[in-house]
Amino acid sequence: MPVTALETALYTKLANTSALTTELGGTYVYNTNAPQNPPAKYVVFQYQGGGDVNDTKQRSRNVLYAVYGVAQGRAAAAAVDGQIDTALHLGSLTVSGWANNLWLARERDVNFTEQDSTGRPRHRIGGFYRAIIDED
Amino acid sequence: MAGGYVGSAAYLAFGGTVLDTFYRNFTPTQTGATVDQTSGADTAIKRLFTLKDGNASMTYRAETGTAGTPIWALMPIGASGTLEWGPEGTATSAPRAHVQAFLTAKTPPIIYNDVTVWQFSWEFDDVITETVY
Repeated sequence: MPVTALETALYTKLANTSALTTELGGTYVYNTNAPQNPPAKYVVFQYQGGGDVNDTKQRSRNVLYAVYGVAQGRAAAAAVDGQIDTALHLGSLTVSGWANNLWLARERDVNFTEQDSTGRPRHRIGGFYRAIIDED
Repeated sequence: MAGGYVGSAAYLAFGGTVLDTFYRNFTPTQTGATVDQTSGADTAIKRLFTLKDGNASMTYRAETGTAGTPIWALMPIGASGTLEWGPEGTATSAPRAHVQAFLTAKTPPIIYNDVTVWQFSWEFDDVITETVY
């Protein structure tokens, strides 16, 4: 499945970015949801929309993902976001079955605060990243 | 039963180079020239059809690296060859059109945040042959 392949590529890119995992204190990168008792700092990425372009016979996909750092402190979440940005903005993904990573760039910022089950704040800071990939 | 067709079925080629994999839009246009043959007693302009003419244009998503270079190189400005299009593909009895043409314009805009799309234009050097595969 192209979506699975792209998400595997995104996870692999983030989980193998040493500056990011050092910032997190581990490979705390999650697709869609973090575990119930998450670490102090982590990354979540979520599919937002997009799909096949269908503008030529050559298949290509144009999709949008939200990728953000989550932490109890705003500064800590921002630091994680900085490493995400360095890893992804105008970077590349290796997507199985898809030959060309045409475009990967940040488009919009995400910055909001939630409360966890104990009432403590959790800051989410990151961005929307657009990926355009082309089939083999 | 009647029905329509879409561009995903199309076959396009110029000078033997198949172009339909990355094409986005192909527009062949047939035109004809006339001369004025109005005479003094006429109350409206009268025309005489003279010569057929035509042109075609195409937008084509740029290919990268070794896949893209041959297409661009095979399409030099001034190139002469057979421009062929089969809007419903090349199955037996599908409509086929072809004409000798010159490539008269090629434009490679470069767009920072999107895929690059080339533009090609031809001018016909003969009458279109409309037949079937």
